[in-house]
Amino acid sequence: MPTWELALGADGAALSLAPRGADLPPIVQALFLAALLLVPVGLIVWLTRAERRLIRAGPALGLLALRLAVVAALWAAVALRPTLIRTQADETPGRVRVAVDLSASMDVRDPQRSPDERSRLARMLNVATAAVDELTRRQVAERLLAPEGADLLRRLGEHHEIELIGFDGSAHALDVEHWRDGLVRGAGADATDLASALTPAGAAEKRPLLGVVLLTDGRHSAGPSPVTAATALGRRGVPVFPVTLGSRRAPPDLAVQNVRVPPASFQGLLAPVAVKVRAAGLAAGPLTIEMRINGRPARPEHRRTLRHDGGERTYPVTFWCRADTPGPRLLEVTARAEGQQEITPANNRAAAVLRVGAEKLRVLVADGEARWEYQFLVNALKRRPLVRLERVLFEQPRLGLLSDEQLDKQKHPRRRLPPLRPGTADPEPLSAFDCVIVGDVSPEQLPFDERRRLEQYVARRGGTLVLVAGKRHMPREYTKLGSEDPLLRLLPITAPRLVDPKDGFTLKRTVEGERTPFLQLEPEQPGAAWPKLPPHFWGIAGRRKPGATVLAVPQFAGASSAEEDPEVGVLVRHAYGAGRVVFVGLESTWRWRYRAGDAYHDPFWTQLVLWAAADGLLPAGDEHVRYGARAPEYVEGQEVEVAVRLGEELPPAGPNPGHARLWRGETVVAVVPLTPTPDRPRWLTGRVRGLPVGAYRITLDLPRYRDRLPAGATGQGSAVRVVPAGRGELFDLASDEALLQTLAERSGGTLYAADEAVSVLDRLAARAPRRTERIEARPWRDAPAVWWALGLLLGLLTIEWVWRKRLGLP
Amino acid sequence: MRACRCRPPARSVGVWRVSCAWRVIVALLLLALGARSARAQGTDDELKRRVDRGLAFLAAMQEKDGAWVAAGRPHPAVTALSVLAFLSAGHVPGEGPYREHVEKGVRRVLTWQRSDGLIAADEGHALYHHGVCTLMLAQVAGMTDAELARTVRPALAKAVAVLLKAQRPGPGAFAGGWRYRVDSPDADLSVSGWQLLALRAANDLGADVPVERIDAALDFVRRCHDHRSGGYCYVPGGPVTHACTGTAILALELRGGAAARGLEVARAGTYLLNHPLQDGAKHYYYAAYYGAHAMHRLGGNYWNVYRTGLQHRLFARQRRGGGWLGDDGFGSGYATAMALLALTVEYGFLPIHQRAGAADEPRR
Repeated sequence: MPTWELALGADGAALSLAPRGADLPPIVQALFLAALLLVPVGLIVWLTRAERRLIRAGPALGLLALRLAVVAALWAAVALRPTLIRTQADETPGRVRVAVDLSASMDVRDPQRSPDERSRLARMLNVATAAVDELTRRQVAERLLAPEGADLLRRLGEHHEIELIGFDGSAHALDVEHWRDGLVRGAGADATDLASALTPAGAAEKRPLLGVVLLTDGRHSAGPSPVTAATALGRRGVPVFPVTLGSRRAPPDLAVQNVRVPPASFQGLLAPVAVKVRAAGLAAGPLTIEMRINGRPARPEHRRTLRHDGGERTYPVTFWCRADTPGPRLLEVTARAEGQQEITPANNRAAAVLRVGAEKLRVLVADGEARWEYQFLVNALKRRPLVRLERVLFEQPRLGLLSDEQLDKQKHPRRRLPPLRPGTADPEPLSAFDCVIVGDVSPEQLPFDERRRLEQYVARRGGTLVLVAGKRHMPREYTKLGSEDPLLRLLPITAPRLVDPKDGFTLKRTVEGERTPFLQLEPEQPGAAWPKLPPHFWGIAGRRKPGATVLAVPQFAGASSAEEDPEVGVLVRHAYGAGRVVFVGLESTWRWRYRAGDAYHDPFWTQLVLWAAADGLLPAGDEHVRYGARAPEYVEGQEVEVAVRLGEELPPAGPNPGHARLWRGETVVAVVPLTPTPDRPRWLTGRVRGLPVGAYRITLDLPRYRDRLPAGATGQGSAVRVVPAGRGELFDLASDEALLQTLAERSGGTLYAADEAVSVLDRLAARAPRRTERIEARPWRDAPAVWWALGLLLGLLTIEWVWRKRLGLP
Repeated sequence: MRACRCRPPARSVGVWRVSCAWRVIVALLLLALGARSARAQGTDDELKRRVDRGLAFLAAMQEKDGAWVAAGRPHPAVTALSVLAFLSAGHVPGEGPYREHVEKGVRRVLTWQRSDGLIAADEGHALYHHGVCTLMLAQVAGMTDAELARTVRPALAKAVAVLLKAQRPGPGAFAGGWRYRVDSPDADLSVSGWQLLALRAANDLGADVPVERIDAALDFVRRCHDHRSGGYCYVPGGPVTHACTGTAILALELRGGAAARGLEVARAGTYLLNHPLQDGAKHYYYAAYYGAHAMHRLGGNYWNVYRTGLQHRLFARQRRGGGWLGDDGFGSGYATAMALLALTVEYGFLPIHQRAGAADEPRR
């Protein structure tokens, strides 16, 4: 017979019975238990029948009942071995992170709140309704935490350990005891990095993190995507509870939201400068937008007047900047709303630096045969004056009518990669190319030595290689060559697999893809083009290698997002040595021309080539060493990265190759140690933070190479600017509820308005870990129950003995 | 009809009837406007639907051996045009539902190639066959599988050699042009147009075509220009035709540069707008094909205006089964292929039809 458990109520109490002889066959066990009960019962009945001859029936039956009770109790304790069970639940204290936004946008008041919003918030903060409009977002956060307001900090602390942090451009811990002292603007206040508040703390976590309470207006303006961080927290079971500060309705304000320029432009080219201006809460009227170049007054073509209709609007404006000479251009865009009051004028200006290179981009396109992908790509690049294109077609229907010299004169494609030139100063002609695009080329057409050259072109020269898939060879033929093949090492994917659904597939950009410049097919309407692109019917997808980034995944008709594997991409890139490799798992980007002409196909390939070249565009130096800041302009508080690329003829750098000096005027303000980048021995980088606003000059000191570099190669200086922050922070002053809602959804949390912030207490209390203990009491063995059981038995026996004596029985 | 139950008093029956009639008329008008608006919005979808029906018809017309028939016999040029129609709609080898039709068509065209390189079924119009087939092979060459490519590439090289051999040598009015036969002494713009397109397509594949041969062909095209009307003649000094004017624009556009955007080309575009394709015109589908491609190349309002008329006429001529009826004695396979090539020009898929010097414009 098994063990039986009988519930004794709703509190989890139960009675468990474990009959003896469980190891016996069931029938034998039943007979054994029955004998154990029936033998004493039979004896008692026999005794009662004997006593019945001496005493009256009533007392005899009373004695019988008493004796049966004793026997039953003994039998139950001995044969059934009862156990009383109760469960006990304990709450284990967990950790709750409370993150308070301290960025500049938190200094904004929100007088535009609706009366309802205002009165609810006043009740929550325990202030007069009229006083709500006088509070900045930071003060609202303070009152939510403070005892005189919602007292969240104390109430959370009653059940959980509190980890209090403040964040702006980065996150830092606040002292829970003296938290008010920490709620001040810091150096990085002109940016908000929501992801920093969601990233796990570096210190060992003693208690489990139950949730993150995020007091913010949601205006994320710097750093990586907070959605990724929230998703990661969600996977760990840590929900984010954003509490929206501010109002969905923006205060009266005009802001230059962003000024976008291409990663690089080139001499003689018109560069588009895409500006976004946001107007909210302003009366209808004219808005004036103008762009100044290098501080000069705006030209007539760089001034626009917009008719604002009084609504909440974002206006795209495109200016064109022609660069006739190389060098950086500081583009300052200002917006004015004549005669109107704004909540802040600090966001009416934004600037960007356009880097203008002097030379043409050199691009090599190599393909097995002139498939359509090749023909449309080549035609797109040939149209661009800034591209100097060379072509290799391994298979050509040649007639033998023209000599190689004549064909070269006609700029005919070659039939092999440019050969090595041993003994010359520049033996590798591939190093002259900013970008090499390799299409459907077979391993025979591109033998091992040539593949090795491509690998060195990427890894050492720092070039960008684009591998375009093809039905005949690329990349599946190469997987047969073993994983150590240079081309497989170059590929940013593993396990390439065919994607050819009957109904076709489209591409869906990942978060990283949405940020990738060459995937912006319509700069003025980011992302608008992608849903319009026609489907593909053939492609190659592969799992990204560690460190690679998936830019776009295949999306199948009728499939949900959950079925997409974000690790398996059709467009994937990774850094390889000093350079980069992009894998395009399509051979039908020409399908993007479907009734759209070159509207999407052309920008994709042109921007990819521009992107490929821009990374290597270090502004100073000569052919032996190129150096400079990675970006021409940094925001105050941002880390400035200095990069150095050494030429192939120089030996790789050792552990301490030297340092860069940052000059302001004639004074050195920072000395930045340079270190070789892992796997990129000819790339040195160094970082410096905390540079004040201003213009700087960078020079190099590389003792190891001093004798090998010509005078001036490292001393002429490269310019970098640090500009006042706040440009990204005050673009839009309405709270970004959509982003906060996404953070909550991705992590399994809930979004709360400021006037319902206390609801987070219940959510977190429900999440506190509980430890449940099962307590068993065996009355036949365990103290103190056994003493109670023994007492009861002795009591019954005593009553029986006394009663029997009084009846005169022996 | 619920409103009709509450009948008004007898004296106002007349008014009531007028009112009911008025409501019915207004409702019908609204319905008609709605339908018209829906049709306008659906024009782009309608194009795709009609092209898809046309392709299905064309696929059904294919013989088992991969050929398409014209004038009662397997026809190399019509087979090549049919394959081009599929390619032009994005149905390339190895992809989509028509992959086998395309591959079989390509293989069948290869069987017509003679040992001297000429691709033709008869001597009469040999270079029409040859030019169209060579153009098709040059368009499909890079898109086949590796095995078929090994056959197509040498076949194409031999076909291009025939083209160069058949080009009329100078001097003279016909210098640089082609005619029906390899050894014909004269030339016309219609045959020459196909050879020029084929040469250019082969050159894009890497065939070493001397530039001076293409320049000579373009000189012949220019000699066909009619300075008075702005159009182009079938032969120098001959009658101006819609098809030949379209052929000339396309040919001059191939070279790019100043010639492509010159006054002559603009006048030729205006000629096509002023002399739209008429129902019952000779070589209707042939003219529609060249007119569409020429005007699409010119872009802007040239194409916008031409496109509306072209689609209107071709949509009206499409049969219930999806095909078009031929009026040149070449049957519905030929007519359907040419109509599809004209309609799918805005798909922008055939490499030979992309602009040389400027980006293609979107059609949204």
